[in-house]
Amino acid sequence: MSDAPAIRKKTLTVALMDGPYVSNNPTTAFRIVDAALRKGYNVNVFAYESAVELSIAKQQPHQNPVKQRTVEEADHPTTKRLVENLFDSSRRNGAKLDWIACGLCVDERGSFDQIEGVRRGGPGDFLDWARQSDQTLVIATK
Amino acid sequence: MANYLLISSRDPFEYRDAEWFYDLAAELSARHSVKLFLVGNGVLIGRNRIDNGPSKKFRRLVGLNGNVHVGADNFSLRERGIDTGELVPGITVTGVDTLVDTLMESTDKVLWH
Repeated sequence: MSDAPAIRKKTLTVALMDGPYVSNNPTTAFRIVDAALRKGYNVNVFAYESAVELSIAKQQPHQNPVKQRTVEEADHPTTKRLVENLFDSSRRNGAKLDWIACGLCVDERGSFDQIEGVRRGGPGDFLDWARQSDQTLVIATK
Repeated sequence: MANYLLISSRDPFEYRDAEWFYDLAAELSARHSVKLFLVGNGVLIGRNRIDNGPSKKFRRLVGLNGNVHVGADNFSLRERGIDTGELVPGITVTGVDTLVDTLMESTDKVLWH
């Protein structure tokens, strides 16, 4: 057993509101979360409004009929796959990723079937996270 | 004095309120340390050849005697085919790794637009 004092990991909380394929914001948010996890920070993501659709489990990649590419050749990156990659990154880097999808936003959109790791919550969870985190980044929608 | 990080993701040609963010950075810099990070379409204002109202305001910001440090995201620049040599002198090309370092280690207040 080491006598070295435990180093408290810092935590970043990110609030995201944009859904898939609408703006650059989810891509930029994913890049920021990825960088934070690689650096060993714990990250909380509060998916609000249409951002709950980023992690719908039934998203499927599609072929590209214009370029006559198959699903495999097109290798279309769905947002749920990108979120899954972030969970993989958290495990590889020994960092914690906690992802909440706003429950009311899920209900409104019927986005009930979420990928593993995403849990249901509400704005109160975001408030708690903001109070407990070392930094909070709110990426507002347009 | 607080350390502000302003993240600008909007193109002022598409959103007129983007230039208000430059005003905010300039006003904050009178009393605080300010870093402005351009990302997504926010990097488009960094091109040296454009000349209009928002770009004049932006250039003044970059030239504020070092009171505002302006960085542009390398990934966003590459996506839009903008070479480093095309940028307004004074802009630092950087990335989200540096952004996260700044965010987590030396920022009191962060604002996204």
